[in-house]
Amino acid sequence: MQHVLDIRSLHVTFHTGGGDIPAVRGVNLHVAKGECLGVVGESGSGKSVTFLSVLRLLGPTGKIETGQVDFLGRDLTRMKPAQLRQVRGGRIAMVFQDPMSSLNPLLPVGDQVGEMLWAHDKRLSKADRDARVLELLRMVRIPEAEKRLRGYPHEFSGGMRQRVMIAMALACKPDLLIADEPTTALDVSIQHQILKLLRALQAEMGTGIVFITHDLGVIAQLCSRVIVMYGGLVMEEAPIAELFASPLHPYTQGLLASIPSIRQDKARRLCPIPGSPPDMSRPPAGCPFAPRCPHVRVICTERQAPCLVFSGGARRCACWLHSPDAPADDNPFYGLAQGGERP
Amino acid sequence: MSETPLLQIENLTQHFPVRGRGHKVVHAVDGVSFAIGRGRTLGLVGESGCGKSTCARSIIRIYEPTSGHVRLDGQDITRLSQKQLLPLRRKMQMIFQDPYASLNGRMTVRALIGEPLRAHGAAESRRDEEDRILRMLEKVGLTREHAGRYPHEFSGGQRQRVGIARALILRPELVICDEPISALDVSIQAQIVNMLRDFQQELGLSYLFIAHDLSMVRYISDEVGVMYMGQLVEHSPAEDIYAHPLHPYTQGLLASIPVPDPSLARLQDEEGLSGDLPSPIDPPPGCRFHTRCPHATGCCREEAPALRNVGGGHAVACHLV
Repeated sequence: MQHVLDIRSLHVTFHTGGGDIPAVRGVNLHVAKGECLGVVGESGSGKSVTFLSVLRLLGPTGKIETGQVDFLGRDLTRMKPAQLRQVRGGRIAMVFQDPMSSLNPLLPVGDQVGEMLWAHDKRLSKADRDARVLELLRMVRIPEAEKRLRGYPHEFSGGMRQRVMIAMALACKPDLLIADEPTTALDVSIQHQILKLLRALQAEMGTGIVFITHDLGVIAQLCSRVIVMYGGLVMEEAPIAELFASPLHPYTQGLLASIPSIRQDKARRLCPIPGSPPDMSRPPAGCPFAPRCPHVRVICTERQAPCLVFSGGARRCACWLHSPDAPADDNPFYGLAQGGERP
Repeated sequence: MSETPLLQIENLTQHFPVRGRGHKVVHAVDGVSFAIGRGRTLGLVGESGCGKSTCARSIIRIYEPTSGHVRLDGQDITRLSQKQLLPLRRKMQMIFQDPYASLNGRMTVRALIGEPLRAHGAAESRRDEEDRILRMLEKVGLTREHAGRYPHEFSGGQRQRVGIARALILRPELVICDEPISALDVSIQAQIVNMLRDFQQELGLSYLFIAHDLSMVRYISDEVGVMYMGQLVEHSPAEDIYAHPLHPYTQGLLASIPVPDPSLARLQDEEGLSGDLPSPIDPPPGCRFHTRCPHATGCCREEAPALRNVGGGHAVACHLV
């Protein structure tokens, strides 16, 4: 299948007064046309930074050190600002976590959606633009859209604002929509509505979606493939069903074990991952998960494991214990691991 | 019931005046009643703005309740002066949601954990105070080396441990946990929940546990109350409310939870809740949920349903049940 986005060995560092923070340390991933890719990770795992650097929205301190970001064959890391502006919001759109601060409080929402259309197509007449704005607000199921488009953001609830953000994002029919925790600030009931909407819109328009979240439940409901990030690296990648049925990386296993299911046996204790995520201003030398890993070996603390490929390329996992030359004794993955090959 | 429950609230109402709008008020909490027994946990769930946090704050009188009664250990504390209330505050403590905002960044962890002891004159000597602080630190999984550090040197999970140490150092009987885990990373949430459960077993604490993560609430609670627009709409033993939700709002809320299991029913099959919360300044007449309820009838638009018992400790406020 054709790839919309290809990220290759991306390294991003923030140069701050307190020292350098290598937030992304060699990420490889792709997004296929029309698929919904889930990206999970805790705060500081580098999941947001990876996708902010796709649109080069890192701010003054962040810098893409090395790596390539291919979008439909063009490298975004080398693109000129003028060209990049056409991609931003036009071909690749983004929806952020906080719909309160992403909208201009001084402009009616209809104008803000219209501005998006104007910015990317100056030839569109005012009448056509207004008609399209109305169509977009209806598409994201805003009730009484013709009345609401003259309303200001403060007159909208959180869920409605996020719908406006989605309408803006989809205004130019992008090839890729990056949704960075779009429902984290919303209630479950509103989150449910937004997720349903995204699913329906994706089916209608065939837009590729990258859904960044820390909520495995949301991923399970929405995505077909998942990338698990930790400490600025991809730890595991798998089709959705396989990730939940047989997680390969100890971090993924720990993450899945630490969330109670709605049918959890209450007498049993939860199994949290001990310790806390690494301090990225001083990233560990080896695997970033080694200090918290129940299966840690000496090599894990010395060198980062290579990303091994499983299931004919559909899965990958960066863990030494899955390596074909990992010792058999005391290795919980031995046997299971033999499918691993170096890419 | 033979034994008096530790906390009993009756018809608790909390209205906030709206500035510049005549005599209009926000109906944050409207006639909520429940009780929590010793060593028990009541989980309170609902959408943001439903009044669950306000309810907690009115109980410990961060807000002065508009009307209703709060009884701690049988004693009505609603109208006590702050001075009379002070000795009772030792019995009830609170853990807050945001471990970044709830700790004073200029105080060391030692001073933060020792503050409640000083406020209540609970330590016999400096030596006793120091001993108790260090013991508490170890109990919440920190070490004595942490005592001299400042909050910014800690991660979110560690800060929440400091918040818990502050709440527990006076050996309270009731702890109100207002979204204690929602600001934490997934892998850390389970650490904190396990710790809260251990403390409950060891010290016989009662919890009022407020959260919007319904799976976590089910796991930690004995009973669950569901709030909607300032009112309790359903209240039952925890297992029961998840297995047989009776109120259409509870049903919608449960259907909205994303289940971390890709093999289970996916989004499109689930009903969920439609629409948004109406304004709490002019709540809808009759049942407050009727504007979003898929089963609403004429009766629901006119008459407010009372919370009534339907057997097995399960109570629901709906005309149709």
